[in-house]
Amino acid sequence: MAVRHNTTADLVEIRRVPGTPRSWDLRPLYEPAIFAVVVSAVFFASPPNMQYVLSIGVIYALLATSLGVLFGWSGIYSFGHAAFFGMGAYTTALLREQEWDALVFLVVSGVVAAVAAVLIGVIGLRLGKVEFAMLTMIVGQICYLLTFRVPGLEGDNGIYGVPRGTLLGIDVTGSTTFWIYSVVVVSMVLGVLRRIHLSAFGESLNAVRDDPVKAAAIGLPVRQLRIAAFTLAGGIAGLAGGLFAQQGGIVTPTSLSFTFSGIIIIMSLLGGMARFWGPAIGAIVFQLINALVFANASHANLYLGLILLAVVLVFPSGLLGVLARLLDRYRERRVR
Amino acid sequence: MADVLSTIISGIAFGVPLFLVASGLTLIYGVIGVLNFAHGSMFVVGALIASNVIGPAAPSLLVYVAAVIAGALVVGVLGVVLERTVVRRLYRGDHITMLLATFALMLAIEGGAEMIWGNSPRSTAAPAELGGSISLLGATISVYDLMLVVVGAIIAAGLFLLISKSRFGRAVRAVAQDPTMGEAIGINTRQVMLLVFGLGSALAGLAGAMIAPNVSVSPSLGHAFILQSFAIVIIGGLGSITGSLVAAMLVGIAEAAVVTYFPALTGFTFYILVAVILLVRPRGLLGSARLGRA
Repeated sequence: MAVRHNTTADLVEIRRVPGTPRSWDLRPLYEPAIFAVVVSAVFFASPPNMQYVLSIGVIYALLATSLGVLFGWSGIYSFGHAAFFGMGAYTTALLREQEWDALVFLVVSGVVAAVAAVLIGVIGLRLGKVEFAMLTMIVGQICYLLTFRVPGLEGDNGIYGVPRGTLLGIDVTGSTTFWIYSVVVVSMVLGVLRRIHLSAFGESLNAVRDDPVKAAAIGLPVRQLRIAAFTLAGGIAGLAGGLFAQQGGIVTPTSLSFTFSGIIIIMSLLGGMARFWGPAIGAIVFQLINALVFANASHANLYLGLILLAVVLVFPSGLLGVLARLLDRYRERRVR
Repeated sequence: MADVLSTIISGIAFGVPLFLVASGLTLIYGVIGVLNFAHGSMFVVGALIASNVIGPAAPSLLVYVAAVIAGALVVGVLGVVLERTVVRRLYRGDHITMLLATFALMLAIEGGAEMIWGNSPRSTAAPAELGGSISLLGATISVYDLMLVVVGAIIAAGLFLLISKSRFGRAVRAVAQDPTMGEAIGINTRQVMLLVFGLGSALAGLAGAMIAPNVSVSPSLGHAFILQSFAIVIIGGLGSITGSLVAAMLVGIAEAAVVTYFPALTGFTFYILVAVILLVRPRGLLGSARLGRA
């Protein structure tokens, strides 16, 4: 098979002429609803061990989408995204003594990660793309090392006993109630992200991704847009991290590690970075494959690497890209 | 005074393997335009091979030299194979494809190394001739460190001569500047790129093999090391060998000084230096010096 290089032309897909009216666009409402209904249907039809896998999967769906904001929307390459997820998770874990509403933890986690992202973005986004990718990797590693150095973060033991708590007075500790809580939160945040994706701001990010020089020439504040995108992605990742801490009740350095940053990339790429729903779908599919195929396999890194290599070299547009190509072919045949 | 001298020597010795890894990384980036995330894994493979050849007992000097050469050669060959099978497909792709593909290679090589050598860390002894320490101007200096400094100096000099004086070096610089033009005047661009990738990988393998007696070697050793060499490359400027030499020495000495005077900061020197350099000079210490101009 001929190798397809995902140049900009491959990634971009023009759906709508920018500037056309979009007040009637209901996609931010019905798409997340469909997502929630479909994954919930799978959830309730699954045995308990798969339910557990899926309840992590929806959180990863949000996390992967936040990486899509960087790679897919704005052409910023981050290889240390786990750092923000971990920051969120540790924030919720450290505040476990507080008697707050479950949602408040998530908001605080998101804000903490977003603040860290602003700082890194302001310093780092002056660099070239490749140098910035290296910097994100370094930042990720610093955060990972800090969990071993800072007293109170407990190193490899992690922090346990993070409560799921209550939401507006309703107890969400049970596995079904927690599922409903997390799927609703994830879908709503995904809806907000979808709205941002379709907005003029999202459109400007795409312009910056496709050609920063032209974007600057038509008056877009390129640097500020990149910083904003990095902050948004960091904040959402932090929120997902908070949810992850509540889900598992325990936070360990694994969620900040180098390998986990790679796994987030693999999940997003598997679904396809060029489309909004690619990373989310990729995350769910990856979680299921991972549980069914690799649960007992040793040498996980070897397989992860080979999968990623295959995806990058053979179908860089991911599952959704392959699906779109198959649909195109089917339609062509029907026209004939 | 004695304190300062031993700090400087051990700092430079610490910087030499970093320089070898970072110069390979920056050479490959400068000529081919591929940032090789898998470079740290190459380094680990070199270390694992050397410790395999040496075995658990203290080796004779001859076995040690053979182990180091074996590490460099095998990793160089691995680099050539990877170039022909995977990396070559990336030349016409964009940054993201390259980063992701070499990231995948990194995971795969690390996983492969785990499969072959297992996960447990192994320690390797230095040959008796290179053990112990000598006294120099009142300072105690480990012989192994001194050997690293000497070997590092020889390789740095050799690399500069190779790039700036030899026929091959001229071809390398030409390809770094403009591959299409190089092709047009009759340079075999593909061959140059293949050899550069092999050479860069061999440098990483050499570094790994030489550091084996100093650290406990395990497949995950590469993580820490690749990030440190990324730090070196960012500080020195991507694509500049001189930059990575200066940065490696600077970071090595800073780390050694921190170990002596502020032990609490051990392991963070790289990151602090990177942050400072980025704030002051976002394009690296030596500006955006590229190989073509080096």
